[in-house]
Amino acid sequence: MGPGTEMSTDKDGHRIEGSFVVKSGLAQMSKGGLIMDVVNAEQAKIAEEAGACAVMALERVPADIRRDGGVSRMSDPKLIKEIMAAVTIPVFAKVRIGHFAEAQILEALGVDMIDESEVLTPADDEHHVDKRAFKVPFVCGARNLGEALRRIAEGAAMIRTKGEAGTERCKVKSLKMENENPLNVHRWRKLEGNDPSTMEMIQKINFLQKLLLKRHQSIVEKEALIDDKDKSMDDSELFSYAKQIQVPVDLLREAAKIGRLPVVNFAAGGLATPADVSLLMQLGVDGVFVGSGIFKSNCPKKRAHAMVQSVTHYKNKEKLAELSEDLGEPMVGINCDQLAEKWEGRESEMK
Amino acid sequence: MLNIMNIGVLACQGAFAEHLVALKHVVQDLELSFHLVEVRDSSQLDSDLRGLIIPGGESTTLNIFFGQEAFLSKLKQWMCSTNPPPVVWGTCAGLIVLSDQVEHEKTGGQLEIGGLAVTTSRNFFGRQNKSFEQKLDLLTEDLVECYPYDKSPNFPGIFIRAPGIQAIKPSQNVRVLAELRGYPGLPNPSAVAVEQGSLMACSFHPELSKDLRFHAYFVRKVLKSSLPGKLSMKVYINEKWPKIL
Repeated sequence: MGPGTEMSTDKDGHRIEGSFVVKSGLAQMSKGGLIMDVVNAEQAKIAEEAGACAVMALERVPADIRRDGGVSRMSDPKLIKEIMAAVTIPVFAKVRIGHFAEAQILEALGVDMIDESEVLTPADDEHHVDKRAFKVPFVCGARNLGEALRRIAEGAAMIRTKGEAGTERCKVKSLKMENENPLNVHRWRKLEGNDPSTMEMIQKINFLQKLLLKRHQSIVEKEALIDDKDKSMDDSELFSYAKQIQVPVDLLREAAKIGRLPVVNFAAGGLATPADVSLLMQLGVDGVFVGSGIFKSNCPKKRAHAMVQSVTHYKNKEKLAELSEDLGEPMVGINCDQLAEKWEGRESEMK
Repeated sequence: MLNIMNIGVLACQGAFAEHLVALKHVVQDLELSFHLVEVRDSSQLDSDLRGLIIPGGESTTLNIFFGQEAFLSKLKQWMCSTNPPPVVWGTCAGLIVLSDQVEHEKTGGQLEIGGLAVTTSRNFFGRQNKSFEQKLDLLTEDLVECYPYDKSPNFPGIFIRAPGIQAIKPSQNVRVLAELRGYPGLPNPSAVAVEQGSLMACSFHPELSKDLRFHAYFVRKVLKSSLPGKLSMKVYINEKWPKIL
């Protein structure tokens, strides 16, 4: 349970909206679920049908934002309203880092949660939005404990990991490899008469796995940091560590005490298969965001369904094997070159 | 004699971990072994499982889960497999699936368990910007005094995109457990927690508060339904749990 579990109803028992309890409550209701990026009402309905616990409404999925380049901003309110009208599940939307006016507009639209996202172009290189001033809850990206606790101190009700969304390093590299090499790594089931040697195959798999693991290293590091600091740390150590990672000491103390972040923590960035989902859930995240992974694949309905089920059954190997079967190619049609800029580095104040 | 009882929380999606934490606190004071289990598979719905919580989360997500491998029909089968039947408690999305009638379902309808003679409306209290907390009135002494650490007549109600109970079918023995007062546009007071036979449901989230009385009440209900007729609950409940249902 998060830091806001204290009851904050006033003495007369009147109704209170927008308290931290209520804001983090929505994040808690999303646990064990999958939140899907959608760019129109039709995709939102597919997401709802597949069992997504919320949708992220945006004009372009991160992979396309990166491909197009330029400044990317909050989505058109018209689009967000259409998506909100199309489904009965919560609708989230993104604002640029530090752009509190975009956040005010989204709050006025009545979106259920705001993602202050590094995927859009940051608007302020010194400040993030003061999220305590809003009734609507915020989710923010973080790469490490310090970043996560700074966002929580600013009022974030939920944290997600940052990934190189959409394109993901691993995918870019494997696509590049594919161009250089006539063997299609994504279709290795269909390699008739052109079998690579077993060794080569194993090497390829290992290579991909290594990249995948590297990509999610931030979570492992975060968990390890919490573990390290748990219990063993006395107050003076806490002070010095809080100083080192630039976070409020109270929040750090609480995280150390409960052995995890004091708010719900989701994984995001480059998840494309039931195995990806299981990996992250086993590493201890509360749920997952999926961006380009669904609608950039060639069989979105089936993949969406399989990935939602994988969040529930992440511990069940047999079930995962079943769910992973025959999902078509993951994330087809992305044609992106090298990453000119890494989004995960986007955080105000922390140049 | 009864040895070990299982109480389960449906772990499809939502705040199941919070429910398990609350249950753990409640059962630690009992002189009886409970197994608290996360239920993810219909094979776990056996005769040892004497109570089940269907937690909040999204009812549409729950629905897809119910459709998998005939989970719903196995759940319904389990719910009437013994006499007295196992106790089932739905919070938020759980209230929706236990209701006989549901309004504002997603397009195409949803799978429901039913059993509670109430009409429930999804997202009744609006989107997240209308989510709220407010003190509720507890209507029965059993609930007020079911857990020795708190005897307040109020309960912290936390409503997250909550469903609402719009109508209760008369003559069906539905008992109102808690009411919300003074909500604009609603009858004053309005029922927000009910029970009927072995079923309990509420539109708010007791698992998000620190008040454990709903969980204690649920555990009592499970004990009561599972103990052989003549056996007194005194055998199992120590002096910290003084009041016998």
